[in-house]
Amino acid sequence: MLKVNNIHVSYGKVEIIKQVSFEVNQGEVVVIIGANGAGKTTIMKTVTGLLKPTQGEILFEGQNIARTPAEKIVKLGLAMCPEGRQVFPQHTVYENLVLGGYLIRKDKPMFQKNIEQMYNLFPILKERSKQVAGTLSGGEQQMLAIARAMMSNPKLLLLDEPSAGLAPIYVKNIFDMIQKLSEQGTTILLVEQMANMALKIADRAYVLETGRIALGGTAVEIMNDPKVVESYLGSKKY
Amino acid sequence: MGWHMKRKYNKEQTLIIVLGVLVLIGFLAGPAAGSYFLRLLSLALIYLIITTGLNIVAGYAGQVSLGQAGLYAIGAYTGGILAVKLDMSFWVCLPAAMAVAGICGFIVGIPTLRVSGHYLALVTIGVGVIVEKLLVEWVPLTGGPGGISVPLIEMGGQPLSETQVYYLFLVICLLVLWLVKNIMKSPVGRAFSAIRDNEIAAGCMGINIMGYKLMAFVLSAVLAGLAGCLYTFLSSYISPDTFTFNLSVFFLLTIIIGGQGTMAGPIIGTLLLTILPEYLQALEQYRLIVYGLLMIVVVIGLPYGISGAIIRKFPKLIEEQKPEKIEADPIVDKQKSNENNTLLVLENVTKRFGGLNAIQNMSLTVKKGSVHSLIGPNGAGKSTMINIITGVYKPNEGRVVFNGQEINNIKPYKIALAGISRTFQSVQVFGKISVLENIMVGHHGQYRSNLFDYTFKSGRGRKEEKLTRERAWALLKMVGLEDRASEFADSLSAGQQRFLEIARALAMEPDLLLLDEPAAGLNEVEIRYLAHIIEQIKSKGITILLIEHHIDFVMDISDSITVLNFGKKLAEGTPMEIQGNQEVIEAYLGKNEVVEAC
Amino acid sequence: MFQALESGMVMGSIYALLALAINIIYSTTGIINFAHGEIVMLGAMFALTFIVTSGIPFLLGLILTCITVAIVAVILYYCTVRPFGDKLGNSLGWLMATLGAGIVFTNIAMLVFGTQPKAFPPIGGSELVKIFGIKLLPHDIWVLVITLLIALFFNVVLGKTILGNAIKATSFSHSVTKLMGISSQKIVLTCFAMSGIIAAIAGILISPITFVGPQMTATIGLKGFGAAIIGGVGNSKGAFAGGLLLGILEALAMTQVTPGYKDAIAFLIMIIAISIKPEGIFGVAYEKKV
Repeated sequence: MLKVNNIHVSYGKVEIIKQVSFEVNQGEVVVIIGANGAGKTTIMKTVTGLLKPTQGEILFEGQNIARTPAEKIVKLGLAMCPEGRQVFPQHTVYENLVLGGYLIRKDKPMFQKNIEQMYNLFPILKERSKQVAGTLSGGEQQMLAIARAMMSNPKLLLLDEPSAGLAPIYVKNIFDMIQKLSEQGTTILLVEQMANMALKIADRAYVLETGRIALGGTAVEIMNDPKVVESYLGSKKY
Repeated sequence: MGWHMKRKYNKEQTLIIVLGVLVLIGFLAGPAAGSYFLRLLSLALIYLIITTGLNIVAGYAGQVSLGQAGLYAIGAYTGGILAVKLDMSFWVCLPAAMAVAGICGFIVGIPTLRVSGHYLALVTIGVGVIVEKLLVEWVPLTGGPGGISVPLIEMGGQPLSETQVYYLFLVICLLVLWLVKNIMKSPVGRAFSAIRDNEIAAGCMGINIMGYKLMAFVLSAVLAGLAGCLYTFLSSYISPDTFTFNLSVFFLLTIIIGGQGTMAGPIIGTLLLTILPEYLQALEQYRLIVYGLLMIVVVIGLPYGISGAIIRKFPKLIEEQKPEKIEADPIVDKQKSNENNTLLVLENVTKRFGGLNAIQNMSLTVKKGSVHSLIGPNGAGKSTMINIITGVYKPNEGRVVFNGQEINNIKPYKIALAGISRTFQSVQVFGKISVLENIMVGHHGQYRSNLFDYTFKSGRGRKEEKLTRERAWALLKMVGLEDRASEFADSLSAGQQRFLEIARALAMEPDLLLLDEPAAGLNEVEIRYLAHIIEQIKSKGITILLIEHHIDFVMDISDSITVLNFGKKLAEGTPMEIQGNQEVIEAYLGKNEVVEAC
Repeated sequence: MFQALESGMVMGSIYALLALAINIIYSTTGIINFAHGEIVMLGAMFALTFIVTSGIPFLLGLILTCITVAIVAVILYYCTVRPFGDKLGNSLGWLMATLGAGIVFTNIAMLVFGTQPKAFPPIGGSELVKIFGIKLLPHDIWVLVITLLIALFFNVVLGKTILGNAIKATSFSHSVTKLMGISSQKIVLTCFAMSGIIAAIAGILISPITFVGPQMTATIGLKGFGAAIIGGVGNSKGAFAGGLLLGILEALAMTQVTPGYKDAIAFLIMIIAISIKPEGIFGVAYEKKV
């Protein structure tokens, strides 16, 4: 479904991403783990078109989108929940969802159906539909961000650190939700620092180190790799 | 004497000094170039004074002023009216013009306490327009559109020649530059920059924001008044059409092209915009179009102005000289003051945001010398608590008592001075000043010197500055940033900025340190380092109130923990008690995920 | 007294028209276009060229003027705002760039059209009509009605439509808006073009009152910003009320002091209003979150 071939990405003069390749197949949950500053968010921004690679190609369903503007990529069926949630703080919950469904705004029945679906998935959003999003708690904002991304019926959903800054109890909640979305047929690419939780729900995983893919394999393989265990999983103090 | 006597200049710095001397020689040789050019140079000196003043308020303190021509006019007309109507000499008119303009600057500054940015731009434009209209309409005083003719400057009963006037202006101008430089390199100048870069953080460093903003406006107005009076006596005739809105734009453009917030900026800008256009006369009616286009091109191409671009290209120009030995103790010992056992008490505090209770009937006691942590889900009210303690928010109900003193209705800067310092959940460094200066801003409240000490470089001022600098280097070393001392703080990574914030907070020599998610975004190595630093801080008797999500970290370093949920206290106790508390597990920690969740 | 009130309402409507256009740009980019007064002046100049000089029928001339000025506004965006990227904030860059554009516009107008103010016919002829015992020019009524209609239009567009939602979203973050499949660039361009169209209409409405010349909007432009801020920037209701309030207060003050102080009084009102209620009549004060 998504195939990234040898991309390089730079911020100004500094090359953040060096020759990164990976792929996501239909129906999978793929996770990219890595330390802070390894370039995870940069990869996500590049796939969604907010940044442009200096080299390499990004194939989405066979079409090269490396040079396509972000808003056109969304139209192809690729949605992202950005890092730090980024809900529109001065819009109500409902208006956030309306904006999420901007692309299907002409298809009223579909739009209604999606809204209902999101309210079923996240009942708290229905309760707060008239509330301004900036006043929601962090966990609720994350749910709204996911729901907003799902409004455009994406084939592939990108999630950038959905657990960051959330209380432990919400973290579990969010991962349950991701699993549910996957079961309903959405393909998911996830970037996470909480390697342990993420690997539990993933099919395959990549490890990103200083802008390069250091390791790739099934989630089980990665979870049992001694180096990954040492640097990202257990046996550490904090 | 102090450190500044032993200072060595590197190659780039020497080059700039040589350039400066050359420009000065050029000015000294001015009279050789003939009468017309001499007048132009005199005008350049006047513009240099007013733009240096404007640079204080717009460049250093970050308060846009588009009404500087109005203050300039007030100085010019004060001088002119006193000279003509009351027959006063230049030497009386000059201080009078500075005083009147200064008072007007104070009045103009008052709205800035409430507004900033483009609002402020509009207010200052309005002031300029009002002055302009008054000059035209208030005929009995100003002579209306016809203007006023003014006598020449006299000294010892003799009128001064053109050349003598020029050298007088040059001396005044150099004096102004030296005094302004002294102020800008002192805690006052740093306070201005801190306010420009981050008002909230500046307030939490013990900087009286309102006072300093007004001070910046008054200083710049005094210089505008001085320049205006000089202009009156240079041209011996003044009329309203000199002091238009376009002149204000010209002054602002001068410092933007030259480089705001640097001493060299106004000099470069004035040289370029006052003397160069003389060579562009050939453009005739296209001149203003070229001028407008130049404005657009420069702000796009050189966002930091010429001096800013040079500094960014050759960072060695502003390199701080690292001391050979860093000996000072980074953290001041607070252990002696441990007579009373409680440091901070919150009594039934409630804070509402538009009907929603962020904090409800909250009580909290923090013991001296302890590490006390606040944990709880996002939105539980943890950051609101910190903002209430530091005075950023005022509670709707309840009391906050610190060291026996009620602080819930005092301004943030006074709370900071009382001994509470903090870091921020989303880092708030002063981005456009150096890392070292960031920490020196933290030491702001410890100074006993006053503006007079800084302006004239008294012994007391220099001694305190030296001490601050030594302490700042020690703190930098403690957090491992001593090799980045000269860089702009916003060039540091997010993690480094967190450590810089902690060092800056410690420079305030606090009794209570509030850390708002210090570990967010740090990797494991950095978190271990952070734990080590917190141990050090604790060992000096400084009390710590910590907000954090990394549970293992919290459990490890805390003496007591308070758990919040929905703005209320859910539980309180030692780490052991909290880990076993059923309610806490349900609301916050989650079942059997305690360890993994970090 | 009534006469003062009436002329205050007419000038107030014109301030409101400028404020509405300033608002629409503010709502999407968070900047204030300091060249807006000059764009209105260009509107008047083009209208004069099309309708008076070339004799094109009024409606067609109006449409041509609107299109031309909308294009100018879009060019202005590309030259003075776009180069500063998506995060504009309180930087001085765009402020100076738009001020510079204003200087360029004024001086080009002087070169092309000359400095002499020229007359422009009022809408509905110059016969006075009597309403409730007050004598009015039909043009004055047109000014009020058109301003009211435009204010209502914006109130609906910004508050009730998905375009309004998208405009608000763009002002929060360009990149997140793009992630919704919305071209933030198009939204911003639409807003600039809309501000150009209103500027053209404002130009035609002001011309008979002030005469057409390069300096015609020198202070009117600034008062437009004042009106926007008095009402609360980004709020169409506020822009309308702020404009009228400024116009009426100014006219009432004029009955007490000499006309030369008109602008001084207007700016004094503005400064006092901003200092007392910086968030504007219809704005909402909020505590900044840290």
